[in-house]
Amino acid sequence: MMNFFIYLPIAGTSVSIFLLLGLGGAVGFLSGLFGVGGGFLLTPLLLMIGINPVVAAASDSNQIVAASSSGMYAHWKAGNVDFKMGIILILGGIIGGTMGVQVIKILQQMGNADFLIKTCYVIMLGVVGPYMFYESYTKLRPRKKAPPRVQTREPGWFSKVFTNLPFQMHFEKSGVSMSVIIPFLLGILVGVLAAIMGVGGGFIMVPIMVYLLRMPMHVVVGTSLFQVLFTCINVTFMQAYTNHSVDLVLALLLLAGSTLGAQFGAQVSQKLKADQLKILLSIIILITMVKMLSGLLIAPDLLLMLKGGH
Amino acid sequence: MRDYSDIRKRCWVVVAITLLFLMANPCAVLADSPLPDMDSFQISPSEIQIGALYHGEQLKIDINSLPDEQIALKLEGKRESIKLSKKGKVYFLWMTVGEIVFHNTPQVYLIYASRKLEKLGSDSERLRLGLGYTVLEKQVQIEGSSQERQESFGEFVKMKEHEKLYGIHDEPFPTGSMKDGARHVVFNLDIPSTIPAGEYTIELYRMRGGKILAPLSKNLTIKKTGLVSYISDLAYNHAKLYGGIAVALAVMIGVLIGLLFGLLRRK
Repeated sequence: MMNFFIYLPIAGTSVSIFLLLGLGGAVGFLSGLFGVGGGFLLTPLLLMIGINPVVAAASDSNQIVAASSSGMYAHWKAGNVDFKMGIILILGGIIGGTMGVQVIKILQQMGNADFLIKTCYVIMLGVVGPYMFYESYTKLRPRKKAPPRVQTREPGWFSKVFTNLPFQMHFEKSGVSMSVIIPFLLGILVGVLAAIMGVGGGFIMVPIMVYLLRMPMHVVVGTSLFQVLFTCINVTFMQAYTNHSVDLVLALLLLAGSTLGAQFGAQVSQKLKADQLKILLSIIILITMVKMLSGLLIAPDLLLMLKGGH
Repeated sequence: MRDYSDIRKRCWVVVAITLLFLMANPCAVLADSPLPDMDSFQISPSEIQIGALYHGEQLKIDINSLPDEQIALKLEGKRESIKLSKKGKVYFLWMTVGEIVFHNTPQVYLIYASRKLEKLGSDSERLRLGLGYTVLEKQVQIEGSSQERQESFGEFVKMKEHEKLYGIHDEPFPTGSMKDGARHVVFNLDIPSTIPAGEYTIELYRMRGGKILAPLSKNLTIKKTGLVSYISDLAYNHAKLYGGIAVALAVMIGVLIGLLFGLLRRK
């Protein structure tokens, strides 16, 4: 009988090849579909199959680099990436990420970083998920017999507040005008949260782009992948260099599945309506939130674990 | 001067008589032969290689014992210090409540006994020989109060058992075959896939007449080879290069697949 297990040199254990390909494929599909890196889903799944938390988080970042490259390439070809907006968000994200690393250091010294990270997740996902679900659901219902949907390009209340800020810029691809300061500050915020939570930040960035920056959903997905790509390149390199925790074999198997999955996700994304995409993403966000919340309320099986991870 | 030719003649006579006796009665050789080697045991292989397709391995252990003897095997790894996060309940929420450091803990601690460990020799004997979790608890140093120590050690063992690196298995050994009054047992010890590379000792304990005899020991080497060894070396000794390769490979594969799917879609 053939051996379908492969040994992961850094994780120090062997896992079924098909299991890793399947996990990567499923998460990659969601990545291409919604423009999220999938780190908030894949890392808990890797923990469930017995991968060390530190290695799981680091290798996950590595595979997100591939998935977001693949997804971003598809969206770029379809003209769905706002590079101008993306670069500003990335610059903010780098500064925010550096600040976030310092924040996490302080939290660790206080001794309860893990709890605060999870609470942060639950609050954020608990607010974003239901809001996104409700908004998309109410929009979908009356539109059953309505004429074809027209994208609203008007700036929201958030943008209006800052209309008088300097460095105004028009973002052609997104069809919005605003001060550069706004996406830059939001990039910092996402960078801080991404560093604290240990993920690319796509699932935070997507709602921010949709609701605060009022960008069209299909451009949001491509631009978010662009931002996630650079965040995860930074995280992968730093994890490999400082913690020696990137398992290349694990990452390659996951990314083999996820890059393929991301392509299918991007294709399906083109066929679905923006509100359908949002309602699906909100359901996934809610499921993740419930899982996180149960982790805070239900006694864990093991009361001791290796330090690190998220 | 002594007459050596006379002595030589006598020796030849003794040898000849012995040979004649043996040829006439070959059974006598077998009947009076000593018991099979009871002072050692064999392991196969003595070196396990962790390659790309490694998924644990069965270690074959050949043991000779007397029929009424009980046997125990212990696989132990090197001792180390380990720092862990500790979870606790604060009000109604479970959170990390601090860290705890364990010193002098074996990386691996697997015991296979032919009967319950508590029935294998006296407490003092097991303590002397280092057999069992109760003994291990006394050897491990934990930073913290005494109550915290006891609770934490139990949780530590639970975590290690979850990783399949600790375990006490007390199931009857295979019956084996009887030969020359000794029992020959072949025991297959499962080496978990999670075992780290390193040097290990396998100790064989035999209990005879209520007493545990001095253990016999063998060394086992587990090492990474081929691609696994190469990647580990790159990751730990050339971290910058490794990080760069990891990122470059991921971007290349991602774009390549994106390109490929783009072409497929156009067709």
